[in-house]
Amino acid sequence: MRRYCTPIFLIVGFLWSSCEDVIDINLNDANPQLVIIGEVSNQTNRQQVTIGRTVAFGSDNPFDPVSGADVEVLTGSGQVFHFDEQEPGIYVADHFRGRENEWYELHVRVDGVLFTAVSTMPPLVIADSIGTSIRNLFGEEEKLITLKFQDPPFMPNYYRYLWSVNGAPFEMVHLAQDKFNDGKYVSEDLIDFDIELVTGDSVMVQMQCIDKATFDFWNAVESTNPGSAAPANPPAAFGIGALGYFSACAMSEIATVVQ
Amino acid sequence: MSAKLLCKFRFFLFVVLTGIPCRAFAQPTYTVSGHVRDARTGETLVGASLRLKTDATVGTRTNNYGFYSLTLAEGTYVLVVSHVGYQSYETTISLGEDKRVDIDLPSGELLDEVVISQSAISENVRSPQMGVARVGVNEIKHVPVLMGEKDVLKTIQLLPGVLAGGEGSSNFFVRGGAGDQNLILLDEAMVYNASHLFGFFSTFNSDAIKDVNLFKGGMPAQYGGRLASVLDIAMLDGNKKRLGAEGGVGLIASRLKIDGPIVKDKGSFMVSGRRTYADLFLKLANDESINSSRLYFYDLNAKANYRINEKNALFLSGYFGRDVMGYSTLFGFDWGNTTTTLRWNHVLNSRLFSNTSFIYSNFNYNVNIDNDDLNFVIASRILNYNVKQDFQFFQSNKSTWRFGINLLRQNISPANIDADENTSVNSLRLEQRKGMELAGYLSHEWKPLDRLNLVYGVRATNFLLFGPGMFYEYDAGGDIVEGRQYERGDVVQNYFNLEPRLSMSYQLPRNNSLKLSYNRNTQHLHQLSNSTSSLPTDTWVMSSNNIKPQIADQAAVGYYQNFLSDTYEFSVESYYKYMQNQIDYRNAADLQANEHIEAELLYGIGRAYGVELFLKKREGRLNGWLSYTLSRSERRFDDINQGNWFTARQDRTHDVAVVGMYQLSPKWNLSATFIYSTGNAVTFPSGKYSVEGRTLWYYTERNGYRMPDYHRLDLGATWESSVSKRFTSSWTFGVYNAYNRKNAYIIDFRENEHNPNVTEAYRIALFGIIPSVTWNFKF
Repeated sequence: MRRYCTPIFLIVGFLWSSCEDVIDINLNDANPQLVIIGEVSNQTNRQQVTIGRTVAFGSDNPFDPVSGADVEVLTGSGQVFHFDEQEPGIYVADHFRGRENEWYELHVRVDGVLFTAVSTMPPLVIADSIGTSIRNLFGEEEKLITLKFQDPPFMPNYYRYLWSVNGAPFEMVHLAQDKFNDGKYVSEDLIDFDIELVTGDSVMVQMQCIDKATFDFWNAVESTNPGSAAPANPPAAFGIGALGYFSACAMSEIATVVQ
Repeated sequence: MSAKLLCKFRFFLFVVLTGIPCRAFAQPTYTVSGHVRDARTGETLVGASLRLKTDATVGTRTNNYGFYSLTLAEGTYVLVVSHVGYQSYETTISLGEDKRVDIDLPSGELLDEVVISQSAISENVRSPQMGVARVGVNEIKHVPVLMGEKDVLKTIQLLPGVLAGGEGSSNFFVRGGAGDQNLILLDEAMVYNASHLFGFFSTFNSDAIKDVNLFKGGMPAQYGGRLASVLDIAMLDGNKKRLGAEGGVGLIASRLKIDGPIVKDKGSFMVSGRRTYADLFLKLANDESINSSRLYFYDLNAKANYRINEKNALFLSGYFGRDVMGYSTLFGFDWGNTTTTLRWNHVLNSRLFSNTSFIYSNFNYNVNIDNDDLNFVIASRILNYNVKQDFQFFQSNKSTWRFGINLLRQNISPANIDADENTSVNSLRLEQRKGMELAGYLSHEWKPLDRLNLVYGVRATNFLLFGPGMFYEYDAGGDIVEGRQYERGDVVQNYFNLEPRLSMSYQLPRNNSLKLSYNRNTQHLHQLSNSTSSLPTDTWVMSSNNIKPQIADQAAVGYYQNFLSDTYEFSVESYYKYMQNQIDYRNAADLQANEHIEAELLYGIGRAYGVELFLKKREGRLNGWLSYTLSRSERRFDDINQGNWFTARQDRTHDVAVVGMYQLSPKWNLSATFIYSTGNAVTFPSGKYSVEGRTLWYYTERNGYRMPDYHRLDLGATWESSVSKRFTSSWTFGVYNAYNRKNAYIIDFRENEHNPNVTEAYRIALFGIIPSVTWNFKF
């Protein structure tokens, strides 16, 4: 629904050429808060949990790693996987692969305090085609990547798309759910207004099937825009005391060259 | 306490306790009644004052239909009739029987200086009503506004206690209330969405407006349904004497009004339209997708009235407005209001006036998407049918009763999606909701002592939410507890509320008075929006098994004084308001097309308090006003801000408006407004963190920061030229934001383009300096 409002804002923006400048604002420095981001995927044997703290707004580095935490993942089938700190704040387990429909529980112990979150890996949905499409927007042609897939009927599905253009690091480009198209043959357009795709660009798309909690986290991030009446932290999977999420996601990668 | 005062107090108590009205002395009394009208157009005058020349404390005012009734002892009187903007008029009446006297007031426009009689202008001091502001059409005409589109909603934002909804916005906040807590009535019909083009223009075409009253507190009992204010706008009836036309050509819109008699002195009509033409410029574009795009809004006001005989009159009025926008054939979006009001005035006898109204109001929007693989329509509608029966009983010149009933049927059809079979979107049907508000009211305007005026009353409201449909109950976490299916006609929920209302004034010597008011208001219709701008797609919900009616209690005290022979009017009012069952949203709430939208809501309380100062110069070549508001508005929700009080977004500590109009010469009229206000309360991050290499903001407290102070100067000039006696034209020039202040519309945060680890704040200013010109004509 939010997407359908985009043209409205485009038209309003088109009408009133507004002016924009960078300003100085005096912001408070909040007490640092723990941030835990955990992911278990079906794609690799390497699973990663990142632990850090929030930093002051004016800080030059947004990542303040937390070392010396105990990290482990428990599964519904009774296994326990330990994570080792590979770099400061980055905890890795490289000896298990996630499975669809499996239940996972993340345990993180920092300074004697235990934080837990659970996630069940959704079934994998794979795109059956990928290609380039062209949209004409206010007289300018924009190239975008279109994925097509069959959404499983009678169940809520949540999708997160990341892409890597010409070998650059993966970044999130789109978030979706099947609230309005459950069970349909879905065509999803991927476009980043900051990156102009040209013929010959190679694009690798990572399509993640995520659980509701992870969707809620990213949806809160994405829906916080300058027009939000009350921006707030995205819902945290770990309850009070830590920000972040734990996502068991079923993902697939599909590549294309821009036509 | 002096013996005389004590005696009066005893008499007062006696009257209150025994309920014996003030006609305690057995001299025969007779009633003079009739209508007060504009001598030139026959337009009835609302709120005109009629007072005895010998004793200005005895008198009355015309009601919303220009009717008055004054009961006096047998004798001969000189009656002074006056109204702002008109020459006062004296007439001698010998009362030996009930009489009907219609009075035609000559317009003051003919004079260089408007002469206003003493009695009319002291009305603000004498009247028990407080927290009310009347905006004159003349003021709306001269106050400079954005793009030269004179606008009643932007003019009332310059009054104390009324805050503008944002840069260029026609939305407004009254005494710490939210935008949806204002009841906006056009000829008694509720207007759901009073703005065009996302709030930049109001739906009220000022050509068609006769009278505007804004009640910020002490609402009379005949009004109900919203917490913060009532904005009561009356449309012109139309010239009863001759056919005329007026209109204008502006930068963004053109206007035309035609009015005239249907049968001379018996009935008249008025039709007024306005349309913008930004889309005509789009047609010039070469690109097909642009020149086939649509972007416009229009308003059409129409009214007809017919006086059947001295006792009966009928009025039919309607408003039709719509915004239309579309991009090529891919996307279409339109929304608008429709209202219709049929009224029957019936003078039962010289002291009993009845009005019966049948009202319809509708707001809907449609979105069309037509792409290769997306093809669907979203539609939503909210409407009401409303029947009002209102009586005014002019018992004596010290006592007027008002009572009536009101039956309002409210229907809401939330956004539905209609999609093709083979498109990649599913159709979605959300259930309609049906409710009914039954209200009865009784109020008494009474003058127990010469110096004491009071209006007291009560409004009883019964709200019913009906089936059919599935209604869920949610727990504190927003999860479903249980669902229950109701059949058509089943009552899902019922709320009964009593709303006491009181307003009084005590006149002190030398044209000043103290006033006091208390009112309770309830609200059963709530608009849900988690963005700062009001969009036509914002969802409406009624009170339900989950949503309790919003309730506000407001108490206010005030001091009113006129000085320098009533040239200046001064008032100071202070209020405290306590609000229950206020609504906010869960984090990242899904408020669109959501069957479980009520699960996304949080409920809390609110309080607002402040002091409002108002100084107005109403006569002379230089006139205008100064308004200052010092206020606070706070909310408390268990799940927001750790359950602590936080300032509401529209909390602005200081709010100043200066409005000046100067008649430079008979042809030139200059005007200027200056606005200063503290910035809105706003939520900014107090830290940041990194997720997948992306910087996210860390928020610690709701509305803990302030936008920068806002100030702006607007200038206007009107040049009148009369080509002939019948045809006049004028040019209005305006400059919005004359010193090009970059007021922050939005402050947001982002990663620096060159170094993503560095974050920066940036400001978006919406309107710089904007000149405008409008050509107006009248014949």
